[in-house]
Amino acid sequence: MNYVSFSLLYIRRCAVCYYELFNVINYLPVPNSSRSSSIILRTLNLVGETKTRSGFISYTQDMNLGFVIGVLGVLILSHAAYSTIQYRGLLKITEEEFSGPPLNVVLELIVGLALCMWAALTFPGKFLSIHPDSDENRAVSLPDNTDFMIFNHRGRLFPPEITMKF
Amino acid sequence: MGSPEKRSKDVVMRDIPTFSAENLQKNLKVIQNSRTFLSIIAGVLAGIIGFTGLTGFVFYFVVMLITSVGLIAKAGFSADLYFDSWNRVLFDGFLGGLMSFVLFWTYPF
Repeated sequence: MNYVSFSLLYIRRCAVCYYELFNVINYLPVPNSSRSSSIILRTLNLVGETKTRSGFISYTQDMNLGFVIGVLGVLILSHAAYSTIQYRGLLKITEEEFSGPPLNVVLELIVGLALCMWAALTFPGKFLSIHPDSDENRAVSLPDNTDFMIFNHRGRLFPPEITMKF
Repeated sequence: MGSPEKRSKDVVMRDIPTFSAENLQKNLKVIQNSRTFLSIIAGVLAGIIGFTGLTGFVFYFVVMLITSVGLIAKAGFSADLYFDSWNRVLFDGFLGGLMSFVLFWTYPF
């Protein structure tokens, strides 16, 4: 077969391989650092967070609700802005001064402000505790290089400094 | 342990406070995002209502105070659990949001 068709076949085969590899890799759990973790860690699935390799963290329901409410608040505010602009145009026709937006716009603004405030406090995420010994900061993931760690040294004879929580 | 934390040896004489720096940075990012978003919303609001001059800045500080109260309520009225000092919760993103506020206050309207 000639050179062009062979190279095309080779490219297509590489592309299929990379595509399948990409699909497989995206569903493996992510190791904790850029160095690859051991196979034992992966099979035991000891990695803490659930992230795909592209870095997309699964949103909680609270953040989704905050996002929807934020979008709703922004929509209400933009509607209020549009009606205010129309009102100002009307005032320009009748040559009066703009003292303040009409009452329904003020109501819309208050509602929009309340919704946006609620969304701004919930959407960016929850506060994480910074104490190292709180319940949600438990170290449930082992370090990466457990292949080279030795555990039967003489440290096992000392009393443990921290109380281990299981 | 797996998560990156500030290590400290607990010497009997001095006790250096330890906290998880990664979580502290995440919390600071949360506050900053909240404040930036709300300063933009405050700017749009000030432009719609038609504040001019000092009234607008007063409005901005009012909105920032309300966000401070909201953030403190979100942190459960105890800054020790999530931050290392109260100043961070109260005064972190004030001046940074001021620029966004003025931009959205004057530009569309």
